[in-house]
Amino acid sequence: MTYKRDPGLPFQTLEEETIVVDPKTREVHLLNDTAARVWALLASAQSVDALAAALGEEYDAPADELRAGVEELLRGLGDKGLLAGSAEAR
Amino acid sequence: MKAARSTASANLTLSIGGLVGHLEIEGAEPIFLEQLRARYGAFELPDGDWVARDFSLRLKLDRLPPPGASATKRLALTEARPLEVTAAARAIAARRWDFQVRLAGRSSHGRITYSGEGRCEASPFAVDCVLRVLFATLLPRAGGMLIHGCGLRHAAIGVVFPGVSGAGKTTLARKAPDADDVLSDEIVAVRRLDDGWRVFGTPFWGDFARGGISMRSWPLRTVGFLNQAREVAMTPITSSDATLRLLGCFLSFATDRASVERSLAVAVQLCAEVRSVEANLTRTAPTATVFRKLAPHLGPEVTRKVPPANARELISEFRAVLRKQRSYAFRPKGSTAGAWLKSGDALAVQTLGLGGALAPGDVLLSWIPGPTPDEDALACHRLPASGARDTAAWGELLGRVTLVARDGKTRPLPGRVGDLARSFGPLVALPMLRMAGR
Repeated sequence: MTYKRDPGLPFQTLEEETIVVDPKTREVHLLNDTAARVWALLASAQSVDALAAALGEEYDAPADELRAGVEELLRGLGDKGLLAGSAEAR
Repeated sequence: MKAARSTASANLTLSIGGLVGHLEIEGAEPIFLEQLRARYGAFELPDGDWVARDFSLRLKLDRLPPPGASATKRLALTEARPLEVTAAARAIAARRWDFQVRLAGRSSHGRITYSGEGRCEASPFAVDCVLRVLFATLLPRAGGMLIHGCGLRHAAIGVVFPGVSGAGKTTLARKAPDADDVLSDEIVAVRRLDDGWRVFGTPFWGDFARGGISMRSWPLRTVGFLNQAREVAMTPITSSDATLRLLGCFLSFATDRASVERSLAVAVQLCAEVRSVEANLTRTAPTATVFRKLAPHLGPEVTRKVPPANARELISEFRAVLRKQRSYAFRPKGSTAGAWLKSGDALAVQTLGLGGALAPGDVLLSWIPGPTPDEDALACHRLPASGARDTAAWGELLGRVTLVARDGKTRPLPGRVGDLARSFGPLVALPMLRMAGR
């Protein structure tokens, strides 16, 4: 299964964080640096394994922790409707 | 027999946040136009086809709402047919149960201007909503935005306190020692100009029931996000936190991607360039305490005089002072074609309501708008024998010159100036752009 961010959502990257706006719900989401990195990777379709591997090269953390973190983040992004075809992805 | 009531079209040109919008209102009863001018008068520009407009809207008014149109009924109608705004690069449409407008943009001389038409119930609520939608939609396209917030002038700077309903915006406004320092208790305009961010008052108010007194903007030094607390404290916050909070307080109706991206970019830039704090305030803390706590976050030179951004702002502020004090003395700089006025002279001006009706020979001070805000001018004219009907080209008549002071001596200019003024020639025009150190 792969995941991709909703291409219709406006966002702005700050120094380390990223702000994502959902015009439909008028909700604003602030992503921390790690989540912002995943958000950048989600510009193209990515699997959990691919995301965890990419983060593994940049962050000093055990692989299982990274994978769990990625899964939790993707769930959160999906619940907030920030992923393309979130319903199918879940 | 009932007297016929005039419902001819009327022009209302407003400048809010430095953006100029022109309404051609058809079918308005005179009393309704008076209502509009009472509300928006501080932001009204003298009429002139040559004035550069960001949007022009021909608005046909429907008949007055029936007497039974209570607030409850209006609320129910608004819930049934709520506001819908769609915006594209060159098109803006907005509709609600009580209005419908559509504007199209076109490029002219390197800028995009919008024009269109619509219909609207002859209700101040409907007209106000139309204006809020248009200015909120167009300001981000000019590098600004409308913010839900209380704006206060402090010394020579402006501070915005954004907050949602119930955050304490009106409470803060009510505590201001001088109500004229309140730019609005509900919605202020911010915009980045050449010299940085500025905050403008608006005619969009909340329970404070009055808005800004002029088009004058002030350097925006700090954004203080309101938070009700037990003691007054100002806590600096990061620009990303500020952006997130600001996005919750900016007035936006369009939900298309381009509009949201534009607003997001404006918010990010503002929060990156202007200090932000969480303004923890109590209901009873006096304004002086608020600004004492805020002082470390206002930056240096709070009292440094910053001139108005342009001649339009300057004259608008002059008009506000004149309306408040009813008379005003100042020393203009400019050129004169009349022997009665020389460089260095001081003028005393009275509002037109004082001193009786206008009469030939009176010397009148008027605001002549220019194509751009920097080209607005004050000018003096002598009222010709044909009277006030020939004064349409003079712009807005602000007052009557009652006195000229030169070398410490006063030279009266009697209202019905008589032989003295009549000897000055048929017309005395005096551009006076350079007032107040400009």
